[in-house]
Amino acid sequence: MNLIGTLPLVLDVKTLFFIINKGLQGNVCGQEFLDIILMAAAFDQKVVVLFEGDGVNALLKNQQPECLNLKNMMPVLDTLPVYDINDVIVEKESMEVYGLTENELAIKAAVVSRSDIKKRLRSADHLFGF
Amino acid sequence: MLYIVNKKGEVLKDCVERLTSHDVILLIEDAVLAAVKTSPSSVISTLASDISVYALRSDMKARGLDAQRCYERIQYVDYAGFVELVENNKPVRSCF
Repeated sequence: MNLIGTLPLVLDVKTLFFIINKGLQGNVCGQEFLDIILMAAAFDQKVVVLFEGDGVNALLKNQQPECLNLKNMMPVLDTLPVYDINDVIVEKESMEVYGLTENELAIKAAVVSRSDIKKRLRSADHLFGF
Repeated sequence: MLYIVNKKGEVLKDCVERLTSHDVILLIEDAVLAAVKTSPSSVISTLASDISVYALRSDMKARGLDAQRCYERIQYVDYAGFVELVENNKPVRSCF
């Protein structure tokens, strides 16, 4: 019997939102969360990464976590396009809270207002946070 | 959209700021303390009337909280009610 033939060839594609609302440094959760994002993309799911709240600071240029012997997450964030993750959004209001401008961000991300983000979240299949 | 919150303070505040019309918020674990009227985090009282607020009954019971000390607008659910909320208010966001 040809078992391979019975396996579905195409996975059901879902829209998954990954919400980063806290710093990626300090514990292993942030690191694990990024791994999950890459894994979801590797399984051809439609991935959207959202930075909001304190999480917007994870996008700052010139982070030097090595000085505390912590892993630098920037190389991982840099690989998002390699995994075909091009839908990276940052909440406008949170950027304003921290006085950040678009050119201070280390990776390419779309700045979107809280109300527009909400509309997009409503259309998502699953929302993940950590 | 359903927001499940397990802490009060900043976590609850961040979540409340993002609520819009007809959203549902479920307080679990330590977040049930925010249901108490005299609680230092008074965000529940500031919510618009079209937001439904639920608290998980077992987390209330575990902490010795009774409904009399809580805001009148709060509705209480057991685990089966929790599942129903998830089923009826997609998508679900866990704010931890």
